[in-house]
Amino acid sequence: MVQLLQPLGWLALGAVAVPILIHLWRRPLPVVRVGSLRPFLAHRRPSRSRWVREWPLLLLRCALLIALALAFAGLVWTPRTPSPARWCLLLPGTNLRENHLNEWQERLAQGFEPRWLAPGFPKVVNRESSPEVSVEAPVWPLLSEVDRTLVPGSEAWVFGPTWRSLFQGNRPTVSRLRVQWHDVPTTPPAVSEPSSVRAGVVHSADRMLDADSVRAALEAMGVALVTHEVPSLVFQLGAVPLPASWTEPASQLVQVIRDAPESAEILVEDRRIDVDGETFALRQRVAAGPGVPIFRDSHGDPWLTEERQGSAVLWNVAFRFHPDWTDWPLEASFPRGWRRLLEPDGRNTAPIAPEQAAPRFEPDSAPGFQSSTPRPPPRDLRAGCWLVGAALFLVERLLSAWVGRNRTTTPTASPAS
Amino acid sequence: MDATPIPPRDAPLLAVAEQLTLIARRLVAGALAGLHASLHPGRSDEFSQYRAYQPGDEPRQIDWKLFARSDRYFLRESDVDAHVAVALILDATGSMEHRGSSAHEPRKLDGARAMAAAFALIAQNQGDPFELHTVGGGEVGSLSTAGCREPFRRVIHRLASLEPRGRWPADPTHLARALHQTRNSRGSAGPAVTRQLTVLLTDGHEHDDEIRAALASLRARRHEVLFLHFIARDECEFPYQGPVLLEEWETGRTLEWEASAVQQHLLNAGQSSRQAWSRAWGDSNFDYLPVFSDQPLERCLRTVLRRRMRH
Repeated sequence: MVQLLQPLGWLALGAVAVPILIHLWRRPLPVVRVGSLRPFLAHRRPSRSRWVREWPLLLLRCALLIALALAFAGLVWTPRTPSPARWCLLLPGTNLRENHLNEWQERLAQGFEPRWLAPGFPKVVNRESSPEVSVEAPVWPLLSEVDRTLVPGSEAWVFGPTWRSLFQGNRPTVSRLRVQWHDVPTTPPAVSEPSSVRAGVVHSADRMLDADSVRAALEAMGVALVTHEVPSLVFQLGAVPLPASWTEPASQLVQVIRDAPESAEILVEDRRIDVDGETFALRQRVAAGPGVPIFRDSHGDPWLTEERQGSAVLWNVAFRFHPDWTDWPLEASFPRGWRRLLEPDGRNTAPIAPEQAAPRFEPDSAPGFQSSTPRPPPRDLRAGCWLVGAALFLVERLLSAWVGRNRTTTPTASPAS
Repeated sequence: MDATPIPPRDAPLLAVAEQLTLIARRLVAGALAGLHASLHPGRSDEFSQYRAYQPGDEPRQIDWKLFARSDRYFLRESDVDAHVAVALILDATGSMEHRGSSAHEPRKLDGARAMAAAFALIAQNQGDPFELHTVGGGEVGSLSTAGCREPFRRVIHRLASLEPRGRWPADPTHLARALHQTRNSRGSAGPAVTRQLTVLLTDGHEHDDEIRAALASLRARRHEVLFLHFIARDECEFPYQGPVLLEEWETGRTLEWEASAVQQHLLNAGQSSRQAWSRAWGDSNFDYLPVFSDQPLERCLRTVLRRRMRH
């Protein structure tokens, strides 16, 4: 966008009127008196008017004045600031149905632009044909990229499931894009690949039965149980420390699942939990552990929370895997439930809260904010104006001399007194 | 027809007249220098030569006495004292004001009336009757010198008082009537006239072929016409460039024009016009001579006289 450092410089453009007025003022032509106009009329070839003949000279002079005026006024070029965007981001593989589809269409009607939440953020032409990307591709880096691309004040709605496997690493903080997540429950794709997870189970002496149930479930899931190797998944049942060889280096340990701590106060109350579409009785439980709630029981209290320690994910279960606490370990769905939660091949379809799925938003006005994509500074065009003015002046002089040479005529005869 | 005597004394007019007289005398003296006297063979008392009879000669011209002595047919020829009635027609229309592009060029009218004065002086010296017709302002003014004691001086005064104005009369019979009237007024007075010579001094600018139409009546009366075409140098070169405003002398009409675009066309048209004038009648009775305004009039006059000697 063109701007002037001295806005009053626009008034200098009025100088363009000067050559136009001079040009419009018809200077008297040299008079040539002839005895008869017959030979001229016989060769009828009217001369072009001076307006038409000298318009290149007029244009040159006007352009020269404009260039000088802009140079004095301080012409600068400011890159155009794009307007805030409003996007509806659809996660590939998301099945939009019923009320979710209505919500999607309502957003589009509000002016949101449909795009895939995939690298490149292509526009959504057909919701059924999603781009060729992995369904479980991490979304937070993508949202951070969107944040860097768009201008402050942009807004995005993300339509998709909130599987935990989609959100790896630390929850990012964005400064320009306000993201709101619309959770769309979606059936995860079938897993056919064999599990590569190595699991380890440690338990206290009083939780032998709990450990057996867990081991049986893991074996049913096809997960390899290891004792000497460093596992990627650890069930820590009871107050028992983890072997030192497992925690060093800590980065190898991916996930730790703890059951109810022994010191916690036991709450005996009939409740239910829903896992993988089935309901199980929960007779005893303890207070929810620290971290972000993932699952809640029939009373709305979290029974599974998540906290992070470095790169490891720590799940705190608010009960024991014991028949006195819940019927779930005795059911055949226990291993299937854990499969859904853990996704032995790396997928974790356990949903998280939509507000936890969206990145944290801290607008530009926040202290210490620094844009990751600083806008380019305005370009000073004054030097260019001077150069153009000099070139125009040179051309104008040459053309003016040429026109003047052609215009020169011998003085006409004057009547004798 | 103007038969008034010499105009009343007017100092500027007299000065112009005296100057014109001097110019005419100098022109004539210069033009005649080196020229041999003209001999016009014909019948007279002054013997010139015998010439053998040729078929077509009138038998009464045969010298029968010589035939008796020589038994051959001879015709006796002698120098003729032929009297030529000279009619000077001077174009005094507005276009004769034209001076040309250079400062030293005289007006066309100045050159034309100097030449007219020279012809009048020559005619007076030869004893030929002469008359002056001035064309301008849409009319013809005639001055007959028949019976005048100082015909040359009268003509000089008329020429001195002449200023270019107006146009050539649209009616071509104006000039023919004026010539007819002056010939009638001349009547039988003066020497016997054997030939009619009309000297037309003009720039040839016409709007509707009015000059050609006026000359047509002279051709019907078998006048010899000497056409002196006064041309300014800028008219035959048109040294202008760029846009100019053309203004017609006689009408004041103007036209904006790109001079350089039409220059070549004008030069060709001027040359064609001069060639057309030179072949106006297509016979020996019409003699055309271009007189350029930057050319010495004396040379032009000498050229005219040489041509007349061969005539």
